[in-house]
Amino acid sequence: MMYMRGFIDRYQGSAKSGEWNWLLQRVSGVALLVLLLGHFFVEHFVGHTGLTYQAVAARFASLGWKIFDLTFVVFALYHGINGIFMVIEDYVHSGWRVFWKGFFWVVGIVYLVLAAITVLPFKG
Amino acid sequence: MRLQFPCIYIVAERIMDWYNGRLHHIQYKWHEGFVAWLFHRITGLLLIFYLFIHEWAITTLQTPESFTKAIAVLENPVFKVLEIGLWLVASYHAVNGLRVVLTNFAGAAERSNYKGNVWIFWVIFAIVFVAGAIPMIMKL
Repeated sequence: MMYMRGFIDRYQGSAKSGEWNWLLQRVSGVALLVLLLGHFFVEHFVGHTGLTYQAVAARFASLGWKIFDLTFVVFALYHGINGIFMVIEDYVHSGWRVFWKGFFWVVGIVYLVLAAITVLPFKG
Repeated sequence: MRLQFPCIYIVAERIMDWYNGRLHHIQYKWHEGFVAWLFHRITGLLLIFYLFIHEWAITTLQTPESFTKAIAVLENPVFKVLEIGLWLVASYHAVNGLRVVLTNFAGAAERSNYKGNVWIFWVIFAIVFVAGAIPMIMKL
């Protein structure tokens, strides 16, 4: 095990910096469980007469589903990007860690804006 | 350096050393919890990259023409099977994620119950997946 000592002893973040992300990953995960089951059953089984533009656009244009979809996207993006951060922290121990975390910060914000400008102004 | 012969034995020995973990000082024990964690990580990465594609697709399908054209492609059985694969990945991540929450907050990670809980989770996951997949397969 002596071979690993330097690797393990190296500073790899602190116990304080990740605790909120850890807790919020559990909270957002449980929220996604409910949201995903709702999404899955509505998209596949509820009143499914055929996958036409009219049927999907009518749902997509209603305020209730806009709120549902945006909530879903916010939780899913937070949970997913936070998960990618955890993977980066596990495997990247060089200066590239800052680069990759910054990269996925940008990707997350771009997709959040993309969701907002797609869902909110939709009229059908 | 004198070339040692036959080299293949040295290469094979190096590979066996790597396999046995002597070089890296890591030996996977394939503990139930490790397998569940490994699948959780793989399915998680698949899901976030699916979300990126999914969101991009919805953004670019805002007109009746482009929507109808895309649906005609997605009606292909290949995508129907991929859709069942997505349900497999998503239901695994959801059910195992719930187990992770229980290990964190409900004492499901005790030495006495940890491995048993993982096996119970596999049964629940199988039930959830099959329950969702049967209607999808019926529509194929």
